[in-house]
Amino acid sequence: MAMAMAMAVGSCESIVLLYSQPRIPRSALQIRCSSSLASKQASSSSKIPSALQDFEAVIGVETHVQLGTATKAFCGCLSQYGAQPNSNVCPVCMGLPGALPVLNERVVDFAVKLGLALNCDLSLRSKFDRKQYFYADLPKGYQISQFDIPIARHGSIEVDLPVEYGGGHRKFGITRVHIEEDAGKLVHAGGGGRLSGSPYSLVDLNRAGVPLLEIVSEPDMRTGIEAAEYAAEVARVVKCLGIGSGSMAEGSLRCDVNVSVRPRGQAAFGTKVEIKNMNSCAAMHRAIDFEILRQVALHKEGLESKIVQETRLWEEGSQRTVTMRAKEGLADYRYFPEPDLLELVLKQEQVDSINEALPELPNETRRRYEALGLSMQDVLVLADDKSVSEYFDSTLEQGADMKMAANWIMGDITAYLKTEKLSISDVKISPSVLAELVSLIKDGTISGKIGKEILPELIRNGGTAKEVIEAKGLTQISDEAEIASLVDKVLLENPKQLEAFKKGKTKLQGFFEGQVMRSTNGRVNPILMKKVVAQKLGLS
Amino acid sequence: VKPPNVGELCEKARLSLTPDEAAEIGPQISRVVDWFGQLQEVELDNVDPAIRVGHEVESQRGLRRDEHLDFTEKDSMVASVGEKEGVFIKVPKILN
Repeated sequence: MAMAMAMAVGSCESIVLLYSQPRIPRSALQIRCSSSLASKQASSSSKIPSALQDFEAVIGVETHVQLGTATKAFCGCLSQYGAQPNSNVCPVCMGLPGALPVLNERVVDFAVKLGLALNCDLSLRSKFDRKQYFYADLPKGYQISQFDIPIARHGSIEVDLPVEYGGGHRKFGITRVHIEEDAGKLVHAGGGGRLSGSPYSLVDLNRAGVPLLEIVSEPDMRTGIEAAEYAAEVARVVKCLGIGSGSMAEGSLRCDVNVSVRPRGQAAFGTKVEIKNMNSCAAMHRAIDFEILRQVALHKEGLESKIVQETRLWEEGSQRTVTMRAKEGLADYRYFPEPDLLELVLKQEQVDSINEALPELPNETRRRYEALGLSMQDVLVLADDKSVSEYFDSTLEQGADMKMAANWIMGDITAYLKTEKLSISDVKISPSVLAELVSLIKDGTISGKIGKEILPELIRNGGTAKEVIEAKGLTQISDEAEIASLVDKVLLENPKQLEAFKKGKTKLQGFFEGQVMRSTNGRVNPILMKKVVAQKLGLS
Repeated sequence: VKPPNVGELCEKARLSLTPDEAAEIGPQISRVVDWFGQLQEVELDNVDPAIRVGHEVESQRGLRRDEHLDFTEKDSMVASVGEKEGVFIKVPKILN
């Protein structure tokens, strides 16, 4: 058996060793590979590790998007997650003899929306084809798909890489978008739930016939983070358009990647390896970076012939890619036009009206926020989720100070949402009340600290900020005369400390400030209070 | 047109033929393919390729509304499935 060195891609300080055959000299592995956001090393990952500088990775992503239509692609069965197995089935999706498919018009609508959002050329005339193979989750023995004339082609998508990975703007090409149907689900009974050990398998056809859009990217990505961010952006676009839930965790957005490496400067592509089974963007990032290193290490040992065209699985537990099965030879899907479906014809007026009604897309929101003057870090957070950016926009419409509103949303409100496991649409604090809160802090009626104290109540119960402040008597004390008498009181009540201060213990200034703050339950305006304290102590 | 490789075709269609059956069916397949092959003689220089056969009927685009409609005999359809284990359809061991 091959000698193996463990490859552990962990968090911050990971030193990379490689599963490989045979041993790779340590000198080839002066690499740090980081998947942790917290790592300071990661901020320089736009710089290529020295071991990789001679090589270039070429990555392409295939994404399957489950559409959120009420019914399946070709029949009136419900398309419904979590239903009892084999309850949403009919002769069409079960592939019974004589059943005929009829295309769901909303699938066409969603496909056009996505094609336009991805800047594609739409084929006003396209067709369906049968992709034929045998598998237990494919009742008809073929999948209805689009082979040579897909509904959309030649598009692009723009992403902004996370700041902690060096930032940067990228534009990636989209080769095509086409309509197809999903297969059923297989549960492998016995044998520990794995296919290879099972004496039999169990099939649930609820998912068979659920509409999918397949998006194929150009092989434009060069690093794991680029591919992961591409996938994240596709998910954002899907959610923004309202065509699907776009969740890798739920399985409504599935990504497979193709990774190859080639010596820098070589025009020909290296051998392409497919990777499956990544359940999150972070897993995509790690899987791709692992696979790049695996392939580069083989090249460096003169073993590039060991890189074969195959499908590998990402193992989350051991953080590595493994061979799925021995190479079988290319599948022959025997595509031919689906005789049971008419040509798919789009009218230009239909396309134009859908185009006009498109919402603001995530990339457009990011550009708009950049133009407002927000930092890139803030832009990425606020524009990540449409419901958050809409909330922020409403708050600004109510006249709130932009930076303060951004900080409240990204800071205290987000923290609350995380702890309580809520989304921004669940909060009872409306954008106008947040705007009110921000302006009350800005004009000094309350301190920021008080704002933080009353926020949970506003989130839970609603109401206006003024109501809560009045009910709790929390108005900020900003009258200098009043502050002066408060300070006098504190100095009077603490003669020992005052004595010590006069003798040189200047640090006690902080003590007096603290005492004044406490005596007012945090309501005194801190800046004015400190000024008065300094005056009374003879410091100004 | 190459003569059919009956062995390959059987593999793809998951059919088993005896050697006699294979010997008999090979020429039959060839004859069908050659019969369609007559289409190669048609002059197509001034004809635009059609994406697929079948013309669109203006009033019907062959689409249906995204509305729930259950098959009326769903229960008896599911009950007629060969082998079940509870609510799941049971299938033999998958070999590849």
